[in-house]
Amino acid sequence: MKTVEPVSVEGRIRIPYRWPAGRLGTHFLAALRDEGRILGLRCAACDVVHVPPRPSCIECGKTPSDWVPVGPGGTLRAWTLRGDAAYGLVHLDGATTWMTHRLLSIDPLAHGQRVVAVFAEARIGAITDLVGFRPL
Amino acid sequence: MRPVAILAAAQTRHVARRDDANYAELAFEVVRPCLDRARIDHTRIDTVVTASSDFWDGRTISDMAVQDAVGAAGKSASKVSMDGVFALSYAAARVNSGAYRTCLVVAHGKASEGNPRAISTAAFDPIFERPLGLDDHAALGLQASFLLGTDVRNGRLSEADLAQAAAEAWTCSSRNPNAHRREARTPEQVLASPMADSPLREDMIAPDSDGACAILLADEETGRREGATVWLEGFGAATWPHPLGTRGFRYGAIRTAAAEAVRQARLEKTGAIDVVEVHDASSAQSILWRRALDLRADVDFNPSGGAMGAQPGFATGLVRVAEVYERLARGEGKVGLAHGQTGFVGQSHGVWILRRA
Amino acid sequence: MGERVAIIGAGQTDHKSRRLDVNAPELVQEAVDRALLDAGVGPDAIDAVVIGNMEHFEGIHLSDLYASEGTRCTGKSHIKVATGGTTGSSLAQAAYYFVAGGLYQTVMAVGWERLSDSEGETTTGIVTAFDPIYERPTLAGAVSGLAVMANQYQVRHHIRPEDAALVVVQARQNAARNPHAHLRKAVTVQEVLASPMLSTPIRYLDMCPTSDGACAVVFTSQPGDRPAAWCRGVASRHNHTYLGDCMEGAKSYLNTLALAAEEAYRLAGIVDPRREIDVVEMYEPCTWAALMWAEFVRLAPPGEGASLWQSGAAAFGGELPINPSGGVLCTNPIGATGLIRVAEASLQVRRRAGDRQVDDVHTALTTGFGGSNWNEVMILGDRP
Repeated sequence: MKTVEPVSVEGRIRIPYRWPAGRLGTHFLAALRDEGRILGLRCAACDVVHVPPRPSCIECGKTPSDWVPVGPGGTLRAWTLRGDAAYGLVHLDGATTWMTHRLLSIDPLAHGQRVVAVFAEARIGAITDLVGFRPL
Repeated sequence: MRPVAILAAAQTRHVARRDDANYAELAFEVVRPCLDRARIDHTRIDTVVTASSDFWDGRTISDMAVQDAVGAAGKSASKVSMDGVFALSYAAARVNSGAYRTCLVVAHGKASEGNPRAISTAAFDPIFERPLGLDDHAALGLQASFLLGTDVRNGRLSEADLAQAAAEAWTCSSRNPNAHRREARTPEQVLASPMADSPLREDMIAPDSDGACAILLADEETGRREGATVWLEGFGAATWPHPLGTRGFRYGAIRTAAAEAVRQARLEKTGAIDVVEVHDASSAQSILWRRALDLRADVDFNPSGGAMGAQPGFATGLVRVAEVYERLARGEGKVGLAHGQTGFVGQSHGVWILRRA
Repeated sequence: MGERVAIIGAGQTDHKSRRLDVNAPELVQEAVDRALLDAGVGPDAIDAVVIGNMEHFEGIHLSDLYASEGTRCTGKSHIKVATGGTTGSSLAQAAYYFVAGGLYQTVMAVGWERLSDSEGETTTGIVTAFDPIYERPTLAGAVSGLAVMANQYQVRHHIRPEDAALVVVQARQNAARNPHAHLRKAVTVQEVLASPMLSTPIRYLDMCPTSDGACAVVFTSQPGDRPAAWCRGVASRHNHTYLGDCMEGAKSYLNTLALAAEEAYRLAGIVDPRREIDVVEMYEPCTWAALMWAEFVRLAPPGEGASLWQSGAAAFGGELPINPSGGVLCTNPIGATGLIRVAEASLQVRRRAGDRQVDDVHTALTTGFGGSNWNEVMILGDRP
């Protein structure tokens, strides 16, 4: 029998999506857009301040309900570079959980490095209203 | 949980690309030998649980495609959309419910059919993380970076540690005929590989593989009758919060999962474990998970090469169970631990304790 | 031998076309909180969670890991079960087996879906269920498979479109009593027959909607004194790899719903389902399917499914109410839909169904249906 090259068929799944930010996400993004502020969501039962906000506390599972300002400064806990892209985990001042975002410069980067949030000029209510974090 | 017998296990040779087989054929490649080794024909499989990813398979009910291959047609079956290590717990539950005497678990992953990095981006929080373009490798880089900067348990990791752990994995997998990576590497060679997601170099990150694995379980009565020598005795699973920054990259969830498995298996301590296989998606994880499990120093750790040797998607953790099972069945140890994970940098962990009777 | 398993709580969201006010975790939390309230337990009572949805609809990979933020069970086992349309019923089955197998004492099943996330593209999400080489380029879509089956049924038994239409007329009447249902407005047979044809013989109003919603159900082996709906017969079957496999007359044709029902009846000790079942919550993706399913589960002889609706037997006040919740024809958040059947049936058995409570319920039949001709049956009763 003749040997036959394996046959493959190409395809692509193209589905446009729209995701709601939800109750808490809307509040957070509105503050970012309208006030240029980053808010944390504090659990009254155990003081954990969540950034970004979540509907249940990572410690006790109850619904956190107190909005508190956090940042714009913070401490860098981890970072990674791939080619031109740089990401970091930032422990914002006043927050318990860390935020993932872009790093706008890689010089200098060290564990414990102080960084500050940079906001976009034109903000639309998206996480990219924060352009990223700049080492101080 | 009541002990469940393992009658047989089988896995494919995991490779970068299987153009000659679709994933149903890949699944069949492991089902046939699994049944043959157990000397059981497909009419004696009472039920099936499969593990597969709709995103990886580009198919919204990915289990639909494999049901003929796994002998599920006309039978009660289900699918877990996570690593096979978790599907195995559902299988154990089905067997222990009294409704089924045997249960076949089949997991597959064909990284080559899609773009694993792009797919992984789709798993991040769509509002707060996905727009940043993060993917699973970036998350691994962040985890490794954290470990270089933080005194976790036994001191900060160094780049040399990452290279050493990677070299050990490459060496073990070079001896494993089923592994994707078949060459040994020295730490120097690892350090010379291109930087990927700092501080991880390419050779410090697990590969993306095409492969499948099947394990056949039986209830106590059937297991004894078939002369099963290796038993699943304990299972623990734990899921940590989703956003990367809430987990602190420590090892909490794996310890919770392991503690539960150890408790169910009535083990005194993890020091009693002779052979361990963990899903290490990077050499930083090879070190971190090992530290988290409090194993004894001379434990046989990832003798197959671990995920660093082959990472066929959702089959990866099930392969860990198969590897431990085979070693115990050969008498290379009495107690084993097999670990799997789903989600970035260990959001969900599943841990099994296996014992040779 | 395994443990006996009972349902002690069920909760669901208010299902709508679009729940833009909440994200997935918040949607899940709404259902979870209602289920825990109904069960009279806190999250601490839950040992493990089984959770699922069809991730192509939201475009979120590992969607359970994201949605699990809403379960109030962080740190516990979360296992994702996802089997397409049957996801909801597969979740119920998984929770049942985890408890019956003694792996956990109390398991919460959570099903959810946000079809509005890919609004207008639901068909695209479903299209990928079909084999990319042989079927996707031609036949794929939610309606096509159902239409082919309905066409066979219609021709074989000479069923009239108005017979099918009656099913949705009664479904909407039932949904008016269900505050959670999505579509609650009355429709007439004329309106159904005047609605656009989707794929012969299925018209727009013959077909289920797409909804955003979530459902949570608590299964346990230790109900204590709480009202309990006991799982008495649990079975599932599926067989389709290619659509032609399930056409009657095909060599591999197996009527999976009939087979699953037979096994469930056997396990539950039910000999005469028409007499012994008090209420049905079936998974009817379209009106025509309801007529067929009723026959396959032996509630009516072949070709006579329509008689249940025509005679009034299936109506809310009839001898065998079918889908007092309004069924799938009124509410369809796909990952939750099959679980809602079980939730509703458990409310009926536990006498907590409010305005839609059927009188004197002891035994309830639920079915789940999905791609690959997958059918799942769970029978609930007020005794173990």
